[in-house]
Amino acid sequence: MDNQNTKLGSYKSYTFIFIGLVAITLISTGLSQLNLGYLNLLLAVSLATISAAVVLGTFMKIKFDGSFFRLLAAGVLALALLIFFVAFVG
Amino acid sequence: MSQSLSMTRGMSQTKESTLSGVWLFIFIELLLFAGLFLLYGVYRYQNPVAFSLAATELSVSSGVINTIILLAGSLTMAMTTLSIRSRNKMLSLLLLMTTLFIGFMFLVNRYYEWKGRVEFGLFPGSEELAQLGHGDVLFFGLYFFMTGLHALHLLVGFVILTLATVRVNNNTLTADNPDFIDKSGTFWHLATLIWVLVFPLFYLL
Repeated sequence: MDNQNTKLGSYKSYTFIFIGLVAITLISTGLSQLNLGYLNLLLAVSLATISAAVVLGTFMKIKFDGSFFRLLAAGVLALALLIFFVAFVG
Repeated sequence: MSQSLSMTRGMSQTKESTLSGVWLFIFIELLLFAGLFLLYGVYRYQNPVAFSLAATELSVSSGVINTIILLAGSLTMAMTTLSIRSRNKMLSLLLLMTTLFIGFMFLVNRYYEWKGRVEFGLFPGSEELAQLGHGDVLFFGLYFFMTGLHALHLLVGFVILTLATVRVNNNTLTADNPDFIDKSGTFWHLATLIWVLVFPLFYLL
């Protein structure tokens, strides 16, 4: 039971992760209001990918369950990232 | 001795296959949304100005609030996996109901956001939208489809969590069998995962 709780995290760690994700959202939103040209797209997509990776790694515990499918999920995320850059860059 | 070992091995294999089933489903859903992201990327590349202008019709603050409350829902759901294992039934129920309330608020926000767009005539098939141009038609078509699909996932998650709450309440879901809470949580977090990827596409770019 203790080992499971250690794997799952704690109330405190989950709270910090939530605060971090909110911070990423607010930073991303703030940066989008600035005229940074091509960087707007790059930053928005990068920060969204980081948020997604954090959700996958912490809340969904991808590193603990389904070792084969975490590779597939990571592959899908990588594919999505590739799609964005190919589609936007041309 | 060997008999008990073989029994144990069988139980762990069953748990592994159950969890893998959930992840297979998640992979399929991510693949579905990856296709939609591809569609968005291609249409945006073809209509960059129209997409940027159309995005100004959406409320950034509404999108940010929706994102934060959905992240809070994932927080309470993650905490539920801890509370159920520490045999704290009251806390588990409180966290589950908080998660349900958060999900409900998100769906209410989604309703009012859609209502606002419909009132302005910005919905697929409307004459007003058709007059704005092909780029706007594509943007709002994707907006309604992707946010609608996401809301559908959230609705399914809502039903699953309601079932989990009932089971926790009548003591059929406890620290001795927390798998259903884990699977429900994984599905709920999928909705959050999808939203953090969809949010910047329509509200920030």
